Amino acid sequence: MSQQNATPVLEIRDLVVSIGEAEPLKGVQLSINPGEVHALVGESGSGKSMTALAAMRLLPKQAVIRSGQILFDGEDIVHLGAPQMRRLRGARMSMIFQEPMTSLNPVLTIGRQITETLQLHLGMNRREARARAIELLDLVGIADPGQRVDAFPHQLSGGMRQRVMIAMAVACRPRLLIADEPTTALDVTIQAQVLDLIAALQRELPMAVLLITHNIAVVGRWADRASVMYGGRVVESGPVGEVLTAPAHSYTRQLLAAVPDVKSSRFYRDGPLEEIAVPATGMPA
Amino acid sequence: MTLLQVSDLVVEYRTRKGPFRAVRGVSFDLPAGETLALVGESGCGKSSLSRALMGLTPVASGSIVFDGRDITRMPEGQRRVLRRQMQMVFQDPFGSLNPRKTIGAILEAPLLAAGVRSRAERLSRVREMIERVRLPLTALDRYPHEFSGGQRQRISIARALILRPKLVVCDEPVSALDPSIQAQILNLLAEMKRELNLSYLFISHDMAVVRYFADRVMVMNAGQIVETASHDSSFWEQPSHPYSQTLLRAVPSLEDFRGRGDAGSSAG
Repeated sequence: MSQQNATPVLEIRDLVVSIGEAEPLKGVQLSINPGEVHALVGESGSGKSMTALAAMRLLPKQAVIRSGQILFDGEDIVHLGAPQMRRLRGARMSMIFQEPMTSLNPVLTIGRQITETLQLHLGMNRREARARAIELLDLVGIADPGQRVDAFPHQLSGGMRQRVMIAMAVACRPRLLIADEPTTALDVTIQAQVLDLIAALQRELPMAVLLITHNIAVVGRWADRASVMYGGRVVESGPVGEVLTAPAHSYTRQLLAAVPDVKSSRFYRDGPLEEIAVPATGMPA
Repeated sequence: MTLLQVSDLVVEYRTRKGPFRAVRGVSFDLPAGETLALVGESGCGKSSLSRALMGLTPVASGSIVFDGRDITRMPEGQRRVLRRQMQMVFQDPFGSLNPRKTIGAILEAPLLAAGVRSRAERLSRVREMIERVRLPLTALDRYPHEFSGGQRQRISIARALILRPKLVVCDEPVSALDPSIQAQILNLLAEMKRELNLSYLFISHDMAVVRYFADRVMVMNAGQIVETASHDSSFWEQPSHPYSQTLLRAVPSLEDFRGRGDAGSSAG
């Protein structure tokens, strides 16, 4: 659970990022406490993935941090050099993405990919690292981890690959795990299993999780706190119960009204969904 | 009136390990004017079923009767005529729109194929349809890449409806869209259905969208329909088949957080 008085694991202050003429982040404020699952909600182009990439200092080359601070465990990492960032990433902060195949190396066994991280960051020898890799695969719920450790990514299902990604990401017991739409490409039953796994690991290890999603119902089930992004800014932030029941910002209110819910008996024959009034672009989106 | 009647339909694929039965004896009726949803997860057979209905994959056994005619093994020439009555809208509108053609040409193509000779008539139908889907006439001279995902979905809906079909098979039409755009497209589909007297077979994995948008839902698992339920049935609270129960339990709801706080309640 969140500890309000502790130093946030990640605190982003007034972050402005530009790419050429565009300004995808216009002064982002975000604070993630130790041990909480913090959801970052927004639509394409709202800046949620850009915020995550900035936190990892993995912004595309053309992107420039104009102003602001990114404090990781109280230390500003905006001006940290590449070697120092490499030591942080994968060890104290790590990230998983929507499509695990793009982050897994197809020609290496999954065991090899996990042991690499362990050897690099924790200085384990090969035998220790392999034993730990098997433990990690077991931890993320992969059956027969002793056998599967020698499998290649293409031999696994989508859900299993996402589990392997999670095993790699938590291998060094990070303080912060950033999960960018980790289940968007998965079936709903697999989505629930993967998010349950992330929640369980968050309590067990423990770590903070920044869960990036466009699915507001996912926030309701799996997050403790939520921040809503719109137009390059965090427009509201708070405990999930508050954000979902008494949203302060009109965008959040409109989003909640626009989305069908599996437990709502709303029916298309009784009337249309409320549409979100987006700034005029001359054409409906 | 029954628009589509599917009886004991079987679809098989040849694989190296022998025949694989993707659809294993599916039967259902789609009355005219209904939105019938087909839900299930990857590999359950829902795409094979829709491909068979559209004549894109051969049927091993069983029958498909559309608008009173048996179309199960109809030759391609007759199929083409019939396809005007049965159209499809896909998940990825970009993949299904030719990037080198203007929107005007994309919308005119089905009319040309259907033998509408008069250029004036084609143009007036194209204009009427682009306005129905709420895009400006200037869109007609532009190319697919100049539009957003939601706008492209409007264009593919316009293309599917321009021949005034009776049935539209919608294959995950809003799955790739942001929530705000999803609401707009669902509203557009509902409006088109009302105005043009359409029937929809709505294929989706999103149970929340299906609860809102379908008159009836069929749950498909391992090539079979395991449960069928109407919008106002107790299915949504108490599904009877174990697979439907698993599926519905996995779907998060905005109601969920109310019961949270006690340890472990988030575990599905």
